[in-house]
Amino acid sequence: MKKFEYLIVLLDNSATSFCYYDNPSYSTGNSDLISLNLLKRIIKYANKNSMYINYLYPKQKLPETYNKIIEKDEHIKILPIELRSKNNKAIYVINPDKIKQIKNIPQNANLNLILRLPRQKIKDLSEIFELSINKCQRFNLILLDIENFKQEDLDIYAQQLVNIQKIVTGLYQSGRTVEINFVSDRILLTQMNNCDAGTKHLTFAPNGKFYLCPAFYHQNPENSVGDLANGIEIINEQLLHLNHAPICRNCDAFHCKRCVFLNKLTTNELNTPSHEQCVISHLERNTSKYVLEKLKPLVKEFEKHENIPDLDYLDPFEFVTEMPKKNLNEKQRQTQIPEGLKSFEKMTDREVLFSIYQMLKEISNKLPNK
Amino acid sequence: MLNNNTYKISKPPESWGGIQSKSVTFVVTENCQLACKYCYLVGKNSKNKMSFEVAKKTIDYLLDHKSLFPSPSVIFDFIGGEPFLEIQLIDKICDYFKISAFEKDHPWFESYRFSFSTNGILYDSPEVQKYIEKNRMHLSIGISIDGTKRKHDLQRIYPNGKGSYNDVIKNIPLWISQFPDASTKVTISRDDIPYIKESVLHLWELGIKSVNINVVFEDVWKEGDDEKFEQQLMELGDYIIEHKLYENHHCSFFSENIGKPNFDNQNWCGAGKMLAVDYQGNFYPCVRFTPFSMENKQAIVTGNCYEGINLNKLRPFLTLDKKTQSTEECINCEVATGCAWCQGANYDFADNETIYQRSTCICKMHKARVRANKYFWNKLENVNNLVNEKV
Repeated sequence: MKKFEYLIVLLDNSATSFCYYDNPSYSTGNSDLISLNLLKRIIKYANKNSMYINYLYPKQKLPETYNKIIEKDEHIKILPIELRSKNNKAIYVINPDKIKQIKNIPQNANLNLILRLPRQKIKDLSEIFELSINKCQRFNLILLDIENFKQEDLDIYAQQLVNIQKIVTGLYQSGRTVEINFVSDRILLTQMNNCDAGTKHLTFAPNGKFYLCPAFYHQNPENSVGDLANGIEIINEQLLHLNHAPICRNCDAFHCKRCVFLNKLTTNELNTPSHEQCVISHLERNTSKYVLEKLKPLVKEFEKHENIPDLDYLDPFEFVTEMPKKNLNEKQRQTQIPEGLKSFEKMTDREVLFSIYQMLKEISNKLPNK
Repeated sequence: MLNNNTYKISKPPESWGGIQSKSVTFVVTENCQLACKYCYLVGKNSKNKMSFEVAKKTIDYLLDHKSLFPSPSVIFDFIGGEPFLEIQLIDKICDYFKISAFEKDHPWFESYRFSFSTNGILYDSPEVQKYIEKNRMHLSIGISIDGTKRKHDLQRIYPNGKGSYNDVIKNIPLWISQFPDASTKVTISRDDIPYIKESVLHLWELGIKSVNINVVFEDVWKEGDDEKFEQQLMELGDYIIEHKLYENHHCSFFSENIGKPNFDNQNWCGAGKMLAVDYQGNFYPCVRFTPFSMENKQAIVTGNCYEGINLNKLRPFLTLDKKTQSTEECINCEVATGCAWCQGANYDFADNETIYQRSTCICKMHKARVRANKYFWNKLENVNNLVNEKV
């Protein structure tokens, strides 16, 4: 069986979303709690397969019997912010209807926060960010409704990021080490670190079935990829991997979630991101670049991080489809080829092909040596 | 080494406009007089016909968005069903394009082509002939004739089962006289294999010098078909060499460039680079993605003539490469060049909703074609060397 690192368990049909997808049952409170028997079985399954469990909680409190079972094994809780307690190991989700309550969270709470920000609120992002950032040790921003973004939404986000990059620079200069998914992650990463739904993790729903992620369950329970009795089968599973994603494998927005659900929704293919997703990730990447360049001379901690190169596009689709590398001059090469790909330029065609596709040696030997 | 540049057998006539052209397909009707057994248009009907309004909106959209369609030339493909069933509509569409492109000073006014794939039954009708006369300098017309009567009538039949050969053959001389460089497209399914040789030769005898021929992409091939196919091609090859037909005739089964390892990563199919529009005004990556050609899947709509193209839906098509959709066996295949695929068929036959799963139904047939080509080109080289030695 394929090895997954962790399992997301939806404790209830109305469990909070923690990502791009919407769960209509969360707002309506249409509860359908996982059965105790199923919970026990999935914990056993996860333990047997060395999978770490992340529990997604609904708004309402669980029966005590459930808590007792859950607490027996190591896990992570993802809860709506209204269930905030002193448990700092948990991740708290601020859903759109609770944004106004951020001000009630005490300063220095050191929370791991996920802010799910609706499109209409992006114009207030820097303000919300400033209000939130002193209350957490990690701040995760999730923009909602990306599938309906227009250019003006991207422009507003770009402007908000300009405001935020100044706030963040000041923050890091003052010695705070808060993690911010859309700024610091790209600075720290040297390779793709995407969501990896269906490759590193799976989701288990209260109906007893597995899904690539909770989004696929909430979209349609028929999207299942298996169950406890019959096992897991992901058809065309290779399309979840980076090497089967023609746009993403040419990209260095390493922090991008590369959300396969949004991909499917917007382009019909799991391996192909929409223009808007790419632009958002590149605006964030460029924010990281700005912050890094500002801080490198000022803060010792930042000296060790690799520079983030200039790019003259915001959507690698343009690079993939319109800019074959052989036609680039030196200046274009510097600005248009992501750092991670530059090493390929020094290789012969044969070496490039060999390293990318891991061809059989006897075949690669037939290639011309140029 | 044989220099096959001198032989027409592997050289198709140059297509108008080449890759510089934007191909726009108008599916003017989903109706056809015929019910060909191998036709991939599984949902043909007499109900769905394009309105002039839809065509007009589409042309307006194309001409008004030069940045989206920067090609210097355009080819409008009219297909169906059978396009000549709607010749009056087509005439109106063509006139509208010409007038609009002129009025808008669009570069396509100077560089356009109207192209047809027809069953040929209505070719001699006064309406069609009038249209041809009017647009003669901007026309390409391909009549589908499959070969000998028994081969043609095996597949290309009316709904009542009657063969259509006699109704098509009567129009071939007129067609050839009007389009001397015309070529035809022949489709080979299982039952047709024994008639390949005679059919290609028959078409050449009719004066059709270029025969584009391919086996169907569908999962119809059975054990042993490849050997019979190879045998037919070898016999055809023998005849071609014996009668020196390689000098003046083209058949797309023969190419010296097929059957080698393929290290490039290009997609074979042009779906997505072209645009098809149906009677509802919906846009598709090509006609094979329209609802009436889908057997197992939902159609893939990439926009419509009212709201324009959804570029996000086109991204998978425009970034699709060979290796991402192929199995390891195909990637490492020693005889890969020349092996074709149809993106629409791949999607329709895939295990789930993706265009990234290449169908390999024709694998054995391709390999048989490669073997036959090897035989043919070796023999041709030997024959010519002997001739040269004598000289």
